[in-house]
Amino acid sequence: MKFLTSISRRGHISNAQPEEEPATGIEYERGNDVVLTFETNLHPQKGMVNMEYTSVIGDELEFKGDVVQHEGLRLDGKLDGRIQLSGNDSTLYIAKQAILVGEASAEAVEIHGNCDAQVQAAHVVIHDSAVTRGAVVYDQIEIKGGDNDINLRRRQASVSV
Amino acid sequence: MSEFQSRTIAPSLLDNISSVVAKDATFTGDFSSSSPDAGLRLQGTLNGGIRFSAGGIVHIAPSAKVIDGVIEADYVLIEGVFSGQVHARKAVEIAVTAIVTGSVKYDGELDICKNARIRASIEYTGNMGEQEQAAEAPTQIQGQAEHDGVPASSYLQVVSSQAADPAGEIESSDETLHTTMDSASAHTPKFATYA
Repeated sequence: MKFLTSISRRGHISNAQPEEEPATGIEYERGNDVVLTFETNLHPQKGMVNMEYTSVIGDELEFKGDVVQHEGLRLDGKLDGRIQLSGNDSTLYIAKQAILVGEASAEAVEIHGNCDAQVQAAHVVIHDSAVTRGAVVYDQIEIKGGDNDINLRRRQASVSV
Repeated sequence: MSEFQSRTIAPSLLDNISSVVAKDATFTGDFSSSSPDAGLRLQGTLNGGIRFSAGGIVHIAPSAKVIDGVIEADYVLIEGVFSGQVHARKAVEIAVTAIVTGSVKYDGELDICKNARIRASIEYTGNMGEQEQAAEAPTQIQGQAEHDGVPASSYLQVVSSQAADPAGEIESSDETLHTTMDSASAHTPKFATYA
């Protein structure tokens, strides 16, 4: 099996360092306050993400139920249910301290927090702080560390990357 | 954000909201929080409730739609479409673009823009000076409706028949009137005489 050292912004797998610097720490400004920081280095961002189309569940919130959406979702709090992000640029970002229980599907999923779920995505990154249970179905995956006890399976369908 | 300026709810409270339901999103389920700093801005659709048990602010933006929502928070600002129940412990503000159906309860302040569309009950849940009012006996509506053991429907029928046909020109209507009055006076319906 090929050892993955990085997934470039366009989703190509390479053993070398990506040519272009990954878009880490994108900050979203509202007024004078920086309210959000995405640390994705996996998902192609088209400049500034339109915040109108990005949902955020803050660390003080808990949501029980289903989410159906086209674009991004950032989870800092707790979500028990089903997340379905349908867009080609959709990213589910599970922050440190966040808890996801249930199911999630998106184009890209980035896990920093607790995830006990059935995850399905073209691109998956599991970070060092992650605690994962359940299953992940992916086209491309990168595991940087974390406490992982998951069932990994590569999706059959060929997806253009 | 937008050009909208809230009148009653402090803009700083609105600016501090960090959680968002995005414009194209549909959330089905319930939000809850026990944090006093809880805040949520709805720009998309929510089928469900929001329960902030110790403070919190909910902003329903103009593009938002809340269906059968039960919202409980200290502050609620409605600019979008809302159906359900709102309970604001401190203030509720209903802006010009709002369409509200259901019920609105508030303990503190109520601010409704003059062009807001509201088809809802509005109830102040704070103290109305209930100490004095509680001494008065409640009115006996039940006793009036069934006077002398005759059902209220008998009275209603007599009144409506007379109103519809004051001269008694229509025969069938007249008969109905008489039998109704007969049965009302005798306290026993006699439907057999009709046949």
